[in-house]
Amino acid sequence: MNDRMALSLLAEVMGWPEDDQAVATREYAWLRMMSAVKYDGYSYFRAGVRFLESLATWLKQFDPADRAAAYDFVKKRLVYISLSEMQCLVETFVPEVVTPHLRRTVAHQLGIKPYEVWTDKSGADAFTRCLRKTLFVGMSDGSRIDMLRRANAGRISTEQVVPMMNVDKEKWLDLSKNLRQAHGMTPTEQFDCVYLIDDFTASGTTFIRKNADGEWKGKLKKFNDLIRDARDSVGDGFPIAENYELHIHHYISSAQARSALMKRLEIAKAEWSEWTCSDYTVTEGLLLPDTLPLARPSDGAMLDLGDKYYDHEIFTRAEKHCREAGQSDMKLGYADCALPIILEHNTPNNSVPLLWAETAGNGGARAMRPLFYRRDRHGSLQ
Amino acid sequence: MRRHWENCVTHFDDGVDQFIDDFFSESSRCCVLVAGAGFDPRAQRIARKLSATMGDRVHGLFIREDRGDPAVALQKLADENEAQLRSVIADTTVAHVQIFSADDRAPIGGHGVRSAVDGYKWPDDITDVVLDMSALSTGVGFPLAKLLLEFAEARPKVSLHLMVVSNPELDDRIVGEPSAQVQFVRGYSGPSGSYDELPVARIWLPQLGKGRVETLRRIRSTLDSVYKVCPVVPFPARNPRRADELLAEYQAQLLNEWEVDARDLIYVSERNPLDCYRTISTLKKRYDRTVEDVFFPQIILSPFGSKVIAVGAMMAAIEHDLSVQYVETLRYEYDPVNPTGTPPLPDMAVHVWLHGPVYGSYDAGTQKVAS
Repeated sequence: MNDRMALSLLAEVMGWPEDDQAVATREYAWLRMMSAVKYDGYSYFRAGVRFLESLATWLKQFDPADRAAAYDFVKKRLVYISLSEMQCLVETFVPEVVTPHLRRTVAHQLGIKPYEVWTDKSGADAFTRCLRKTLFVGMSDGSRIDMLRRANAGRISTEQVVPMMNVDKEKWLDLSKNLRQAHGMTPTEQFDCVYLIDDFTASGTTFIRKNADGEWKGKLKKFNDLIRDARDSVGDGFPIAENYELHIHHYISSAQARSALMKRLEIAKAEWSEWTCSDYTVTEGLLLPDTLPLARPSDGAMLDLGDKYYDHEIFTRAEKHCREAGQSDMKLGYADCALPIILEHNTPNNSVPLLWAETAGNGGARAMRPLFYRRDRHGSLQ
Repeated sequence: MRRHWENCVTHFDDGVDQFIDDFFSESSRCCVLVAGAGFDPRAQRIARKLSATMGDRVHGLFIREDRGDPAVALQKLADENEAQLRSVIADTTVAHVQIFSADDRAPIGGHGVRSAVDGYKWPDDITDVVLDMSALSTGVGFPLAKLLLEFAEARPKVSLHLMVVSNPELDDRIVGEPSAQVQFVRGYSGPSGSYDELPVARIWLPQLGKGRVETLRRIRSTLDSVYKVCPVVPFPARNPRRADELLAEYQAQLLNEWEVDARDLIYVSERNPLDCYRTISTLKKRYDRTVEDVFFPQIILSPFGSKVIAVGAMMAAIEHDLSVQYVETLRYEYDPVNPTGTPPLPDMAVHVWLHGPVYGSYDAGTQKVAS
C-alpha cells in the first residue's frame, strides 16, 4: 500500500490539519498497526478494500463535523475479537471449563474431593472415561469445531464431536458404536454429558426465547426436540443417556445474556413437558462487562450519531424478529443491546447498527454505510 | 518433567475461599504462608482467610522488600500491612530483604530471598506451603517460587500452592521507577555453557504492561541475536479492550523498533496463569525443533503488568529453564485514592496447586484418548 496516499485519503476525510502533520501521522500509525493486528482480518473484507478503505467510506457518510466523534468511537470503544483472540477462547475451553467440571463429576462418583481425582489410578481412569463419555456439539459455524478438535488432539476423540446439530440416525448409531468400542467402555455405554457450543450471545434470545403467544423457540428448543425424536427413532443405539447433563457454553457472552439464559432455562425446565436432560450449566470463555454497552452520558456523542444517521429500514427488514424482542426501532441494535463489538467472522446484530447496517436510503432517509459488513442468518449481507 | 502443570488443579475468586475452607480446615494440615508485607493493598487477603480457617496451624514468613528510599506514604502503608499481618497470624516471621546493595546499588533481592528461606525454621509437621505472590515483586517472588518448589519436591508429602490476588486496574495505578541495570532474575538465567557450539537465536517475549515502555526498551537494547519478538498481551481480560490499549501504548516499539510481525502477538488469559504457561511451553517445544542443529535456541521472558500472566511465565521459565530478564524497581508510587472516582473493580483471586501428592497418578490416564 502506498502509505502516503492512504494517509492523505484519511487526512482529507477527517479534516486533519495540513499544516500540522503530527496528528495525521500519529493516527495513521495507529490505524496501520490495528489494521495489521486485527481489523484487516475481518472475513468480509476483500483484497484492495480492507479496513482503511472501509473506514474512509464509513466516515464519509457522516457530516464533516460528526466524523471526529465516529472516529473517536472506533479508537476508544470498539471491541474487535480477532481470530487469534477467538482461538485463545477455543483453546482454553477444555482445560478451563470442561476439565474442572469432570473432576467434580468424578469426585462425586467416587466420594472424594475434586482435587483428589488424580491422587490415585482409580480417579485418573475415571476421569479419562468421563471425558470420553462427553459429547461436544457445535451450534453454528461460529462454534469453531475445527479449532476445538485441533486444540484437543490427543485429548478428545473426533468421535465425540458433532460439528452441527443436523445429526441423522446413521450418525447417532455411529457415535454410539464408537463410544461402546472405545477402551474401557461397556457395550451399553452412553454419553452422560453434552456440551452445546456457540460463539456469541448478547441477549440469549437466539438460544432460547418464548414468543408473545407462549411458543418456545431457539437453538435449545431445536436441540431438545432433536434428542426427543432421535431417542424414539434410534432406540437402543441412541448414544445419549436418559439423564444426561447439559452444558451450554458460549465463547463470548454479555452479562445481559447470561442472566437472561439462566432465567429462561429455569422457566423452560418447568414448562417443557419433554425436557430431555437432568441438569444444566451455563458457561462462557469471556464474559463481557456490563459496562460495555453504549450508554449516556459517556457515549452521548456516538449515540447521537446513531439517532441522526438511523434509517428505519433496518427495523422493517426484521420487524417480526425485533418486535418479539419488544423493540419499536433498531437504533441500539437487536434487543437494544447497544454493543460496540465485532467478531472476526461476522458482526452481531446486537451491535450498534452504525457499525454494520447498509441501506439504500429510501424515502428521504440517509443511506447507512457499514464499517464492517454483516451477514444475517439467511446469508444476506445487510 | 511436571506434566500436571498443563492441567493443574486451580480455583478462582470465591472458589479460592471455598477451597481454603474445605482443604485447610482439616486438622492434620500445617501450613506456612510465604507472602509480601509491603504497601500493596492485596497483601492481607490470603493471610486473613488462612488464619480464619486454620488458627494457629498456619505460620507466616513475610518478606518486606526494602528499597532504601521509599515514598513516606508507602512506607506507612507497608508498616500498617506488616502490623496487620502480625496480628492476623500469631507465629509470624518478617524477613527484611534489601533489594539493592548499599555499596553500588546493584540489585541483590534474590540473594536476600535465599537467606530468608534458609534461615526460616520450618515446622516439623508441615504439610503445605502457600506462596502468595500478590504483593511480591518479580525480583523476589520468582526466586522464592523456585526455592519453595525445590523444598516441596524434596518432600513427597508437602504440597506447594501458588495464590495471587490480582487487580489489573489497580496494577495500572502502581507506578515503578526503573533502575538502570538490566539483569536476569536470580535463578532464571537460562541454560549456560551451551553457546560455544552453535550461534544463539533468541525469541524475546516482553509482557506488555502499562507505563513500562522505557523499561522494556531498555531490556530490548541489551539483547542481540534476536530472531523474533513476540509481545504477550492479556486476552481474555475483564476489560476486553485492555490488549488494544496496550498495543496503542507500545505502537512505536511494535512497528518501528522491535519490528513485530502482527501474527506474533501472544494472547493469554489475565485470569488463569496456566494459559500463559501452556502457550509458552508450546512455543518452546516448537522453536527448539525449528532451530535444532542450526542455532542454540533461547527464549527470554520479561514479565511486566498482570501478575497472573507473570506467574504463568514464571512456571514456563522453571519448567523449561528459560531466561527472565527484568529491570528492578527503585521505588514505587501509589495513591490509594482512585483519581478517576470510578468505583473499584473487585479483586480477582487464583489458586494454582503446583505440587503435591494430589498428582500421584496424574500420568496414569488423563492425557489418553479412550478410543
